[in-house]
Amino acid sequence: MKLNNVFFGIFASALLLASCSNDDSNEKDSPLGAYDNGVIILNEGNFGTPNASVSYISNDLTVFMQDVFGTENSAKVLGDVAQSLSFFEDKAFIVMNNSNTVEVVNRYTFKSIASITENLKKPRYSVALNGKLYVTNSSSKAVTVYDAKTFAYVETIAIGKTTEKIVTANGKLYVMNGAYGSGNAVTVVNPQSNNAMSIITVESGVNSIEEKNGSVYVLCGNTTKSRLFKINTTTDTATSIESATLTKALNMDIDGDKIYYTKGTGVYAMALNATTFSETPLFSVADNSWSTLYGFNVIDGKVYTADANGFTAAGIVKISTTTGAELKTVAAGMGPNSFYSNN
Amino acid sequence: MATKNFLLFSIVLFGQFLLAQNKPAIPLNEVVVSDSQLKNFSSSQSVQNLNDSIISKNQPSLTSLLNYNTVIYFKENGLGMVSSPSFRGTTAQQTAVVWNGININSQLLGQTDFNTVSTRGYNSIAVKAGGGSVVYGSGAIGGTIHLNNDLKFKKTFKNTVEVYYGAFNSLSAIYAITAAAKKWSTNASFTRNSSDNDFKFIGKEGKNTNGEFYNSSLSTAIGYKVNANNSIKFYSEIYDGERHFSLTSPNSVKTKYQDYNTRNLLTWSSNIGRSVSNFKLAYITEHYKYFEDIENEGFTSGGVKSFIAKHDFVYEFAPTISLNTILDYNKTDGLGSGIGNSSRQVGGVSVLLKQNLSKHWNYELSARKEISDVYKSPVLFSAGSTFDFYKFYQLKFNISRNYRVPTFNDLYWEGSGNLNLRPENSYQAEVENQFQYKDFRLTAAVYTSKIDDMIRWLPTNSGNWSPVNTDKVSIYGAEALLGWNKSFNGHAFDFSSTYSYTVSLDDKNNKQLFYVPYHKLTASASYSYKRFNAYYQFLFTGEVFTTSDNDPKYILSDYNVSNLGLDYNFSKKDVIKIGFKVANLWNEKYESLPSRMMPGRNLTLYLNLNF
Repeated sequence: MKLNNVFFGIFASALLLASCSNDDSNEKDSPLGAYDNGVIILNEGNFGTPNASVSYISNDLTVFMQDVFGTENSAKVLGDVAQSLSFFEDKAFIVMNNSNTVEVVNRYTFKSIASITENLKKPRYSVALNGKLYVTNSSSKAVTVYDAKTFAYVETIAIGKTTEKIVTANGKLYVMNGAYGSGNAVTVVNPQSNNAMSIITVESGVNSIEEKNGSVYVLCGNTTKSRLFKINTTTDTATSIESATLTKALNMDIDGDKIYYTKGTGVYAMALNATTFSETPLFSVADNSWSTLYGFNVIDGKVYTADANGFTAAGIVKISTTTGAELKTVAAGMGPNSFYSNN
Repeated sequence: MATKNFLLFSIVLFGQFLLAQNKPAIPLNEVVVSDSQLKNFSSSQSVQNLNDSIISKNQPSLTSLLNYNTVIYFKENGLGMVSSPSFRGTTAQQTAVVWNGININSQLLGQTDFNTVSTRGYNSIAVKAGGGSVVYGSGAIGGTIHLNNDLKFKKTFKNTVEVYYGAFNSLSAIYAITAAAKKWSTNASFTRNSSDNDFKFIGKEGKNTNGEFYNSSLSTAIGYKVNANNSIKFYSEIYDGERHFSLTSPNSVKTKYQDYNTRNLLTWSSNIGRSVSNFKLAYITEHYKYFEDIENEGFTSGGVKSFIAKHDFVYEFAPTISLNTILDYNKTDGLGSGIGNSSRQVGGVSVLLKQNLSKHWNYELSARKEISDVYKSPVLFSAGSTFDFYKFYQLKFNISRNYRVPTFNDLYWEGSGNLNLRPENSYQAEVENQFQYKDFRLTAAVYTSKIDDMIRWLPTNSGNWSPVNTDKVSIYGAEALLGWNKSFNGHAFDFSSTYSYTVSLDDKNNKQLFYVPYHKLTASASYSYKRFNAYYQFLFTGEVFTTSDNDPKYILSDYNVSNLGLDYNFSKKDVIKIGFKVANLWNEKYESLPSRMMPGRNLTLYLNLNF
């Protein structure tokens, strides 16, 4: 396995060198596999059909590869609805919602390592903390816990509410209790004190959660207002800013010291310590009858947006500057929904 | 509100009686059809009749019957699973299923799942290609499927028992009784189908898991002739079924789905002078339960109850001209997960005129307008004409405007429903040639249609999914139906075949709609000698695209499937028939949707008794 990785490293660096001739200055570390130093694009696929896939684009946007999982693991099928991905050390955990599995791969080579199936019930998101992998399950409304190295099942933490996105901060887990416009809470689980739980009430329409500099930021948007909460992870109390004019804010992603979010087709940004929402978009994406922001992330100052293309053909991924200047457009897989920096 | 409703109801239903005149009675026919427009106002379109002997040669699902005998293409989520049609290049919601003249497409989904209709409770099933919204309402765009219980007023007493048992522990059992006299007639049947449906995949590891299903249906029709001018008929059906949804990933959470549907229709027919009046009351219910994890008791559920009142009035101005007016009122109440408690009312008027200009030439004109408290409806129309050039050649022409209304889910789904949806709208035209020469029949039709405002659920920029009026398609195609039969010295041959060529283009990119094959061919041949009978069925489905950009990487390849059956009747007087059928004789590996494998070669044994 190790030898394989080394081999792939050599192969990939040759590939990178061949494809990006005048970009030596940016590369500070030698790649650990073909899919290092780039962005992983998760294509969820059609619900009910095992046609999810993974695409890869290098940080300098010169190398783009389709169906990475399929290419590296010809005997395996990734599955049905790739919902999300998380990293732990050299591993990537791909949460396959409708296949009810978590596929474990080497994050740089995408060679399959294991498939986690035990006690999953429609898994959604995952995060690693202290050598354990925590997976949220929408059907059982619980977090299932696995050893992040042996992938053995450890335990189940019942949440009892919508169990969606999950992040860690200050040694604790923050589970977003909302999806698709409903829900108004975050459940805090402390693994160090026997999974003691507390609930932080936020605003209805909770849709994004992210940890930054030890704090947890939570975005909520509904038809009357948008609200951004900042949770102090020592006291687990939250402060918030809100806007009654910019309603239905979505897709929060923090990059550097900026909080990015979207509303309709507009992309917005405000400072981490902003006291009011920015209501002037940086730029707008194309307006289609379907979502042109099915996936949205900002990575190293570049905005990655995914047009789901109605889920009837390959989704379109656009990468632009934070002012909307287009850098690259590629056709990815079916239903691209999220982007992950893999360095 | 209540008074207003009652008023609307009264005007719709009782206003028409004033028109009736007192003239000599038209004698009632010996066979009374439940759907008189299909018989009397469909001459300018093609109607293919599948009689009970064809019905009994096929598997009991409506999918299987129509797939092997008509031009309709089916997408099946595996054997027995959710099945939806594409008729003349249209979507699943653009084919209406009509039970004894009443449209029974689901009010929640807008379509009928063709694997939840068991065919053996009907004595005739007819397939009418092309638009029919003027008479049959929403969804009659690609065509209509008519499930009929026709009543015979003739002294009869007949019992039928049919048992089919085969691979994957599949059982189909039917008991039917027909009893009739001059004044009354009844037929009733009980059907039970079940299967473990755990077939081994062809050419790959594993077998179909979590695919088991069962369903039971009870079907009754009762007719009573009160006097020479009046008769009462009652039709009823109860369907109860459960299906587990087979898995496409081995570790997926196992789900199951239950359907419970009831249909009741009371008709009072009366002849007054030169008119026939049919007063109909129908009560149709549909209910589902979805278990998203069979290991848990939790489920989501929903149901719709529809009350329909219809007055269908035919007046014969002269033996060559008849006018048919239909006034109807429809109140539908939905209740369930996602749609809450919602209701809608629709009142409609249809007028149909038919005139024979000569012995060889007639025309039909019809129009419909309806008023709903939820959506705006266009004026629908149909115009057609038939010419008999020679004894053996008939030319038909028809144009029509048809529609499909938004479903309860489209309108009311919590957080997603869109109350601004417009009905889907379609214009179409067709020309049909019918040849009949001795034992040989050929129907060849060409058609074209344009559909716009097609409703599709799409992810929106507010982070949700919602239905919108989006797609426009342009369709053209050709169909041929061929039939031949011959009997001599105890030998009987029968051959029939259908072929369709369909081009259905998305106006946005001018590409073929996905899941619409360019070509489909069916053929069936049977041979009988005395009490021995053999038959062969063949189905070819051309390749289909699975993406809207017609990406060649994701084409589902074409397939040929054949079935063979043999039986022998041991009784001279009645029927004591024992036989077998081999499905997928050549063990073709095929699927009509990606990752939804269909079974390989499999055997069914059967016993049919008539006494």
